[in-house]
Amino acid sequence: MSPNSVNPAGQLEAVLLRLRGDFLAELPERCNRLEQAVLALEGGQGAEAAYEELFRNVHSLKGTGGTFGLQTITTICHQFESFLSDSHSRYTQAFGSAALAYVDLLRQVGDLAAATASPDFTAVEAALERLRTTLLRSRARCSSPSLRPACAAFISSLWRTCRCRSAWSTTASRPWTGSCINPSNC
Amino acid sequence: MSDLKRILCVEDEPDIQAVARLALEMVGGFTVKVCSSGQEALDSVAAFAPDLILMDVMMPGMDGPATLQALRAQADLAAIPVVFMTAKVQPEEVQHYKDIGAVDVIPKPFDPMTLASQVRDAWMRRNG
Repeated sequence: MSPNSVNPAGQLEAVLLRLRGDFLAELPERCNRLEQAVLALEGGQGAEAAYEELFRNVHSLKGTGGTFGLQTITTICHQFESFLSDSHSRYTQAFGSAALAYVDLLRQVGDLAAATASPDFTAVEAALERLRTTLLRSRARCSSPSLRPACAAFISSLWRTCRCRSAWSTTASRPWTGSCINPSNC
Repeated sequence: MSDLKRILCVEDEPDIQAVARLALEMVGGFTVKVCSSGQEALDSVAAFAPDLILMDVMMPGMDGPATLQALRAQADLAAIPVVFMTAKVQPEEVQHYKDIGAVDVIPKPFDPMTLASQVRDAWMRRNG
């Protein structure tokens, strides 16, 4: 008789481990859907539905990630959700860049969690903090509607997607690193 | 005081549905029915006759508070205790959910290993 056959918690743990694996296997596809929703917003057609789809999917990932012990996914999605709420569903270039940066961070968490049993999310969390700081600064600058286009260009100039899908900054000014946060993959 | 045996779980996210069901059945030993929406819960609750309803707050269509309101409007269902699951657990948010009739609030993401005991504690506090 295996220990799990008499231990409901052990049985549950085994099932949860399998479900977590399924979740991580599906995460890239879920990130693809998030990206598609962002790109649909950029296109302008069906923007309201795309925005709702994006918000719903981010909210869903927030709850599911944490339930499988991936608290970093919950933290990223929590900030992503707040960012979406604050944007009031208005698409700008800066919105698109920041939204895709969040998706890239989710991909990195998925890659790290799938690669090792004890993943280190320090670099991802640092990148998330840089993104949060950048957005806070841009929001402060965007208090006047007349400044918003300039802020959009500003944010867009900071964030790029590396071929390893890491979000990185092109500026050498603090607090940005000026290089890909995941150089080993580049 | 009757025992807590039957739980209606209302949650729109399939992964969380699965985890909640497993946690409540395997660890808690409860009989669990899962509904994917507030409307489905309203359609099922009389037939399933749960001792307690564990419900997500944010769902598409009829959300948790709206579903709770609809339950409270039906005399034969009004007494079933409802526990919300939500990520919105600031003190004023929790108080709001209790003010509208929830007996307790379980923070999301929940720990699958302790969900059953959290639900049982909520039940005990209400019936204690």
